[in-house]
Amino acid sequence: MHDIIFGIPASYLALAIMGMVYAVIIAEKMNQAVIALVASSLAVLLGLLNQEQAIDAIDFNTLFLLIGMMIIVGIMKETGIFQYVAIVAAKSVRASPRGLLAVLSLITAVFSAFLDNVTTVMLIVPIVILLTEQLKLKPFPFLLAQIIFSNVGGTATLIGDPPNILIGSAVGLSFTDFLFNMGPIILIIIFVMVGVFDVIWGRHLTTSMRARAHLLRYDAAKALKNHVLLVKSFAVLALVMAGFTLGHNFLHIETGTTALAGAALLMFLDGIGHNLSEKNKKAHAAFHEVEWDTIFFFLGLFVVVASLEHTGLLAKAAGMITEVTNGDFQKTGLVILWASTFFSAFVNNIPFVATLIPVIESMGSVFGDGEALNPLWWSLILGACLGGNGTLIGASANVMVASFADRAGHPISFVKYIVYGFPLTLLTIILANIYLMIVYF
Amino acid sequence: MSAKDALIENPIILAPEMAVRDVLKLFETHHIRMAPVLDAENNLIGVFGFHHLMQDLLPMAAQIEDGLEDLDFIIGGAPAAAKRIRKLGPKPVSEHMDRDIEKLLLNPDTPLLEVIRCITRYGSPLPVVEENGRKFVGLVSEQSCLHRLHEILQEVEIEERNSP
Repeated sequence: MHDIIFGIPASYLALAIMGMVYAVIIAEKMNQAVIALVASSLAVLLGLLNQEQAIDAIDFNTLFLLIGMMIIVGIMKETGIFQYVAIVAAKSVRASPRGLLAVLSLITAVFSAFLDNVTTVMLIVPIVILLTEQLKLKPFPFLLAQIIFSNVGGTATLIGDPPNILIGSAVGLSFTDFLFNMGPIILIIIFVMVGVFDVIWGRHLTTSMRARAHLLRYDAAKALKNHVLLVKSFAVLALVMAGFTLGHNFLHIETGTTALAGAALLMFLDGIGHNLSEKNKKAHAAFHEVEWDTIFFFLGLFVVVASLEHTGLLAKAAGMITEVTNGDFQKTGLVILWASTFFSAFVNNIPFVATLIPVIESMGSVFGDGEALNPLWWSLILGACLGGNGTLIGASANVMVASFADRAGHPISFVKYIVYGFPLTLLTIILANIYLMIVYF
Repeated sequence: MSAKDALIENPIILAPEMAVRDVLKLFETHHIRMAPVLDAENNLIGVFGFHHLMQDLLPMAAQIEDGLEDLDFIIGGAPAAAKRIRKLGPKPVSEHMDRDIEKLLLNPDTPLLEVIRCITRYGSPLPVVEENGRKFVGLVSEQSCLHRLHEILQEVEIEERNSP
């Protein structure tokens, strides 16, 4: 790379390109994938990176993991299993509003730990709207819970939230690493939040016995659509989970390979017993489930961040952070936690996390490489994922729930969300802060 | 041949403030399924029919975009739907009509074949408005198109018989 391009220092150019990406994302004037692709094209065309370096910068493991899981979940949701679980749960609490708020929150937390958060709320929120309408309840606390718990649950696993996938893949943190390190604090946060929701809303909710009786007549089994596919999906999902844990830890199979192999197997199984034309249709539909704009958003960001990294700017930024914290490990970790919280409350956390990965990596020179840095990664993950709860635009799942609320005639305003969402977010971050201090610092 | 050749010129029309209950009676008396809703200046502001009524009988979760695709797990939901009819009865039709009608609109000069294509896609009848604006002209329906086609067929046959 040249240090000066068209008379401008390369580092300024790289910074300007990254700045442009952020500006456009904040201004919401352009599709995020398109601006990431425009920016990465500029980075290569201006010579900040050559094509080979750009391709090297793309973390295909992350992309494969995303694509694989999107295909698997896309096929699985046809089975109706998610609605089935929600209805069974509603009946299990005898359709009491208080119990319903708790079980629907828990379901979303668990699902979003294993599925992407937006997919989770897209599957569960229509059921939430149905059940609250049926019980004549104001949907706000239920929808707020969907947002909060989808982001909290997503923090717990390697595949729960894109920042985790990014960090896990870049640093080599495994599925079990996530489960053992993030699992405990997320469980604590979930139980505390269920309690908080119950105190603020749950215990005040009332409905008629008649409405409850009506809900209890729901036949959950009818929500299951395709029993054969259901068995196939669960078999593949079990294999994929085994691949993430046993396969990764003992056979060193990368998570991207596991997810993509799982997707391939499920598509193959889904086609069995159909003629070629139907098989083609099914495969076409499965590939259609991949959110290509998300994939290209990541792809573009990898290149833009690498162009910044090549200029040495990110290493400098790392130096500045450790200077501010006097090279104190705990202080650095907590600065990362709180900074990423506030940042991702307002802006898409993925570019932030993608930029911070090389920054934290270069702190290895101060704090030691490899596992020594792990507490900083956990700080970043907790801040970036839980911070998404801070405002209505903090995470894509929030925006999705808000759009559903709008369509159903119960809009959630930005301010109303902040009044409840922001304090709840602070509570989760304080819990995370305490956990980090006790366990790691 | 265009929409104006297959036009139903004086169809039943609705005023926005008419009660849904009265509209349904009107539908029954005149054996129609759908009618245009016009404002005081004869501008088309929406359409209302049995189809829209049926949609409003569903739970909100099934009405919205990306909502529930199956309701077969809801057992005994019919009384609730019946009650919703009772609730809708006194409401003005303007609250329940379809306002998103841009795609349905035909002009008097829309070619007949395009009219038929639109009917196959969006159903029948479809409203015809003046080229610029929303001034209501009439309706075209499956029957009015068929009727016009029969007339054309007769003309064609006479022409064929007369040509050597």
